[in-house]
Amino acid sequence: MAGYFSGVGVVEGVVSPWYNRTMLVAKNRVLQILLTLGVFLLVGYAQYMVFMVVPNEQVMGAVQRVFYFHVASALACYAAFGAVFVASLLYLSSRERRADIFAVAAGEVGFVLCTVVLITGMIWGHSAWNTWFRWEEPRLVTFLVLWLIFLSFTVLRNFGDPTKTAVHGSILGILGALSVPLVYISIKFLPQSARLHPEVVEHGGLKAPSYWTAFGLSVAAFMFLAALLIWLRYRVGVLEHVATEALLDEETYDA
Amino acid sequence: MTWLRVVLLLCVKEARVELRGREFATLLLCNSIIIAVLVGAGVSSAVLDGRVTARVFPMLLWLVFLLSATTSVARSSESELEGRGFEGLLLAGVTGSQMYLAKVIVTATLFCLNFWVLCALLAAALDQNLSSVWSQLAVLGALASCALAALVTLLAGIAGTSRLRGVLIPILSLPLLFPVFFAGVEMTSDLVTLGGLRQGSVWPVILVAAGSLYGLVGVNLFESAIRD
Repeated sequence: MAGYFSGVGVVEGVVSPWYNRTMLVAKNRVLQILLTLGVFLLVGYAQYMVFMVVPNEQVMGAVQRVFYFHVASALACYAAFGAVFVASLLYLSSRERRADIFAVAAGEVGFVLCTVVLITGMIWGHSAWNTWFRWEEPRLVTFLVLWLIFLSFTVLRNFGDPTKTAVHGSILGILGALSVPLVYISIKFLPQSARLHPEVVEHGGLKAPSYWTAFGLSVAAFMFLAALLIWLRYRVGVLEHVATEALLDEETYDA
Repeated sequence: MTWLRVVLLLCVKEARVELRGREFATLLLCNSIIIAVLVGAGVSSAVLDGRVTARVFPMLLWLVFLLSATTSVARSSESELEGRGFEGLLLAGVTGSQMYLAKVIVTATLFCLNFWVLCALLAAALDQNLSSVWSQLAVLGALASCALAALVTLLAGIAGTSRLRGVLIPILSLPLLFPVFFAGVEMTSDLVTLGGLRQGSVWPVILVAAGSLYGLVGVNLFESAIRD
């Protein structure tokens, strides 16, 4: 036991895979710091554009700035859910452990982003429509359902059968991703007294160039932030897996 | 032995197991009755007038149906998971798709019977007259039961070995069942208020599409879910 966690990683003179991977992690640290700095600079610049450069919108005023976070996090959330779907498919077809760890990472980051979308949407809604939530509005309900699917995915990962979590989580990931379009279609056909959600981009909104620059930067910042978070969570997942394997090896060796 | 014949034999096996223990059916019916009585008492306490009750009746019906079904379905795969029946069947050459289809057929039948009982029970509790639309409601119940069974059978295989299986299945299945819930509520609402479906209603298509999607995923992935 002492061998592994004192940093030696040697069992009977054989260098364990855990030790090799730990060395690889150390080599990647510089890259990690650089990437993190780059993403934070991009996020900071996007914040500067949103709060200091873009003028106040005429009707909504300062609350309109929520739009840049809301739409950007929604797009990043969709991307994360897409990543869960692809990684789950890859895991089921190849049983490659890294694909499963990636699916977990994307699922958790997607859940956080989905929460951001819901909260920013509610802030906007309360200011624009004088209500926190509208059940007639397809996009709001779709995101709420998406949030619930991510929630159940996270619950399964934490409370499912530990020996089969990877397979079961992958199946739920695929099922969830395939259900989302159906949920969206079904909500769109619900009777609506008034569809409130603004369709800014579809209707040619954002006339001033600074709006577009800030919007593009926000989307890029959230996409890169999501990718960075997924990557960091993936690395934590790999280390967890390696540590678990090392413990199992140690127990086998002791026995 | 043809592929379908194996499915048929498995259906008979499933039905016999259920008839012997009657655990799933009893649990399903008890859950439905208890939740329906609670709903009836709640509506009565809220002193809703007849028109309001008629408007909320479809939502209450589908809420009780989905809740009772998802909270009871853990029992449907219990015997196989406890007695390693799935492994035995796989070793005997039966495919996961065949096991899944047989389970879906039996589960859907039980759900459908439960839906009909629930309709009568809730209609009596909330003083609704469904006699004129009974046949259409029965077909709707059968369609929704197939979609519901297609999803929860797969999820019962997934959550069945977890120690939290009783609560895990509703948590996993209810978010995915939104299309079925919406379709059920909208179609029941049309039936109760208009006496038939609206012309050009898309809800039957959505219900069938949801059932087909769940079935397709289940047929392909059920074996992965139960195999060690």
